[in-house]
Amino acid sequence: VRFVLSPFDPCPVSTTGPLEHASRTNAVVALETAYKYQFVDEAGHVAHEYALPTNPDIQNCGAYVDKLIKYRDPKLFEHFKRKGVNAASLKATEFPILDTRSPELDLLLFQLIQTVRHSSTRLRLLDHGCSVAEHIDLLDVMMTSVTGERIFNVVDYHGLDFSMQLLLAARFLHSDYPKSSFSLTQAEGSDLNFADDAFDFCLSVGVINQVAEPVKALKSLLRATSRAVVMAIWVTDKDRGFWAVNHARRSYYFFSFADLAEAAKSKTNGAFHVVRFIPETQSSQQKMAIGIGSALTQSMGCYHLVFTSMSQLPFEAGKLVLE
Amino acid sequence: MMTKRSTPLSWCVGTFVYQRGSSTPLHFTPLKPFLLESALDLSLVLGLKACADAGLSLNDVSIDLANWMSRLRIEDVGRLIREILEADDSISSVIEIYSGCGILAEYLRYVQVLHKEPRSNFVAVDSPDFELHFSTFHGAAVFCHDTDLASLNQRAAIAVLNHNTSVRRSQMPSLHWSDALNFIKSPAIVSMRVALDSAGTSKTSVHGCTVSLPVDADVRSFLMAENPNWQFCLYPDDDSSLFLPSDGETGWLLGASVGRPFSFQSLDAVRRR
Repeated sequence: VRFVLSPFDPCPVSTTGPLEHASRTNAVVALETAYKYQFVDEAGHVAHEYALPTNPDIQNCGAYVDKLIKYRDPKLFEHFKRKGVNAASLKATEFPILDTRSPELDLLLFQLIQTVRHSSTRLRLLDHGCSVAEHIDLLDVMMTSVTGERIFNVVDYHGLDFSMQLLLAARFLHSDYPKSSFSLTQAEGSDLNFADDAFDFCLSVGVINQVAEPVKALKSLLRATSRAVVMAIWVTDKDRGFWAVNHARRSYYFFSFADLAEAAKSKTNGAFHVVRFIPETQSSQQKMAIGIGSALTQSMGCYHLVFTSMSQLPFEAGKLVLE
Repeated sequence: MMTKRSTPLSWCVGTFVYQRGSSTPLHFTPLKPFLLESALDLSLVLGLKACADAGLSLNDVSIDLANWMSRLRIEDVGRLIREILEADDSISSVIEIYSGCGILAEYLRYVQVLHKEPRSNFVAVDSPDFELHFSTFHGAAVFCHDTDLASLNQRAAIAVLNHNTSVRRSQMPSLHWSDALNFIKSPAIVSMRVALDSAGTSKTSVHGCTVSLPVDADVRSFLMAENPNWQFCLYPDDDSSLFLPSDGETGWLLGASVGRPFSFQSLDAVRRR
């Protein structure tokens, strides 16, 4: 038998998602998830299925480790040496891992670090939702290829994540980093009891949407960071933010601009700057939120934001005007 | 003359979300390849590493990872390796063909640390695509490109042909199983996905790969010609849904030989299962 396979979506998005009504009420909807391959014949019947373990923590851990290992490829170092560390060098076809969201944000952070690193003091970095600390690996390759210096000679890294599994992996994968400049903390992402300006920089790639108290967490990050918070954050243009559930069965909050304005007030100086906006309809991870229809999806998107009081930024960005 | 039937199928892989009790999905999120089997493999290596370092059983820490390891048949192969190492102290190394990111290497470390057994040396043989991943986890072990297999010396080593894991990949390995079979000499272990007869040798995996399976009887007779002391256990293929439905049954063949008459207790255990 020769199989001719063509991709399909077994559950296309309708205009109004099946869980949107439930999210506006106190309804309790019990959900079950399954990771599987599914094959459907011409009559629309399920012809075959192959199930995989359904545990997002395991899948996520492996995916982050894979990314970290690819960052450590000596060919990537050579690529940056040859092409420089810039937006164009992230688009190289031989390194598809670079043409994704998080390297773009790592590049912003790297450029900011390069701008201020002439001062003699070490820079303190908070990685909010650090997973296996793969961001420090890409920063390390960027730094080493440009200056010849290891990142841990410039930055004191502090990773924070809720998952002990991810933190154990992070610890193992960075066992060669000096303990004095590489620390990890297990905590929920809105449980941030840091002193004001405890860090020079903070990086948060989509994590702020997944914590228990998103607006409170954002305020804490802004207060705890003296120079710049670099983040990917999902925002709706609706008047109010709303909660949804993502495909990993985690609660996910879509911020409103009013939420961002409220958070910005927690810091006496500084403003949000937009580096990039990706509408959800153009996202590389389509249909991330469960049960949301196409109409609501069109109101959402991911902003690459930098909150800072720095007067000059080493990249193009427009100030986000908040009412 | 036999002609191939052409069967069109629509295909997807990802997260299906159901309202509890319903079989109609509420939602589907496609998953990228890096969130599928390769992610499970990498997590399994790290899980074994963490368990070895903490002195914990993987079953107690993560039932999902333990189940995934069972699906890969790693423990069955590992038990045979330990049995051979125990029986012959002149053997100090393991050569694994189709090592991938090194799950078997990590499993051996895990059981040897937990049981305070001497550590064996490990040589991994696979496509260069796995070298970086393997080396990240097993810095001290040797990684040999599959194109250099013929130059490897099997002296004082158990050769392990882990064909069962190679058929699971989204791209078929460049090293054909018949070339790998030609390489191995007793002491050796084979863990192979086989067709029970010639009707079932060509399969399509859920990854869309055409997989050419060896016939059970052919593998046995080939290995018995290498050494008449090979012993085998054919196990029903409880992972047969890895392949799209087509003619011919498949099975999992576990075989071992130390080159002399030997009673493998761990092979008997698989037979009794």
